[in-house]
Amino acid sequence: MTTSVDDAITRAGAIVARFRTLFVGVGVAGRCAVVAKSLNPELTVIFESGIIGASLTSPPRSISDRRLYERCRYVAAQDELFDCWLGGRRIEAAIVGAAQIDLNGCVNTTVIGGYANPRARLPGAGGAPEVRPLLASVVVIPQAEGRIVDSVDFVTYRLPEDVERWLVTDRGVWYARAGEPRLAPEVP
Amino acid sequence: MSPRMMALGDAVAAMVRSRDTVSIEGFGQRIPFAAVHEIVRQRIGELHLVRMGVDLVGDQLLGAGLVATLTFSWAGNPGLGTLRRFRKAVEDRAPRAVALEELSHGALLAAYRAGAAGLPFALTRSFEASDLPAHSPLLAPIACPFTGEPLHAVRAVRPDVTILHGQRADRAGNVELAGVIGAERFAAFAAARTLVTVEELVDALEPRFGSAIVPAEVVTTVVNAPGGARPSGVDGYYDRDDEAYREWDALSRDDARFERWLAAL
Repeated sequence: MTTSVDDAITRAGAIVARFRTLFVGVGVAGRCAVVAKSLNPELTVIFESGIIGASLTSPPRSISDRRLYERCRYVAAQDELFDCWLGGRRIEAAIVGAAQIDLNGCVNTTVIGGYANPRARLPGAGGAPEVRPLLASVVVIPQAEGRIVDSVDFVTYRLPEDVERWLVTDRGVWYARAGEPRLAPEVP
Repeated sequence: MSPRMMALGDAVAAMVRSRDTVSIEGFGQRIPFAAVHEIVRQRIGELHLVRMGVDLVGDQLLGAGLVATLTFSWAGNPGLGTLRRFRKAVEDRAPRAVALEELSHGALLAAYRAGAAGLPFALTRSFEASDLPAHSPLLAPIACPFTGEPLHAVRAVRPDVTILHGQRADRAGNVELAGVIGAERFAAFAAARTLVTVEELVDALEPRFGSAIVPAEVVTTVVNAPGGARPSGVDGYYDRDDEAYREWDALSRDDARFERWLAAL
């Protein structure tokens, strides 16, 4: 039986499958990218480890998984990845996970509680603040219980406002057009 | 001067000193576990650790209480989630408090490149709306002198010593890296000295597709250490040992088991 977690992953994968180049973050984003790649075999999938055009037939063990580049277009050094692909905005869409998010598009992957005395220390920013896609940004949180808040504990970064944004969860989907500051529930 | 070939214990004792700023790089692959374990065995402490992805090696140094300051951009067990010893250090200040100098991957990579280029800082657009600059001593607001655009300066990183693991080194001390190429070369150019462990010593390195070279000019010491990156993977030699990463998650969440691991290392 399909669970709502699987539904969220399938839904997020379908959203990003319509683009040509996709940046994929750690964790659950990799499972969404497998869905997207199966729907759109022409999709160029890019990881922050520098892997460009991964074949992506199964979910990666990590973003440096060598199985990701056994059949990829090439492996860019990370300075090319961050400066030219991400800084130069050569990627149409991005999909990442998050520990906490608010509907202004503020994402927290740093701390729950205060920075100096956190109740829970999270992994931190990684490469997510560098990701400025040209067209669309998707955050996927398959189990959203307690993770969508009025105001995040810490703003690690804010989703760029000049692109379409989706928040995809087991509780539903939120969306903002390019230029709109706030995400709103998507009418089914 | 050609780089010296040394045994691992001697190389670590000669090159890593208490209070040093130590960069350890290798992005999910070619992680110099053997060299880090030697630092732990020799209990070289009060270190300022610089590492983009603080994974198991960072967790081990933090858990051993050897890190006073941590410059980093992500701290997790790749593919599995949280790092138990890192969280204990930050949340409980145990076994000691650690000062955090936190960045993003792109910003820390830029900081290495500035250090390698002899520049005081790099520029980034990554923190426009972020709370991180208020907490990170490595970030300061700066305006573009041409357009006035608000940006952030990232202070350059200049390690006392950089530690890497490569596939092969030649007799002159040139080191071949293959697979995912992260900050390694910039961390070596930015550092006062660099220690590299390798899978294999060869007479000469023939150019190979997809590989990068850390040139002998920035390699101080080479250590022949086959298997020295296990349980991470080294392209052409061995794959990541996923079970060891899962086992670390179980071991490191239990204080008593971690202490036994530390004593037995």
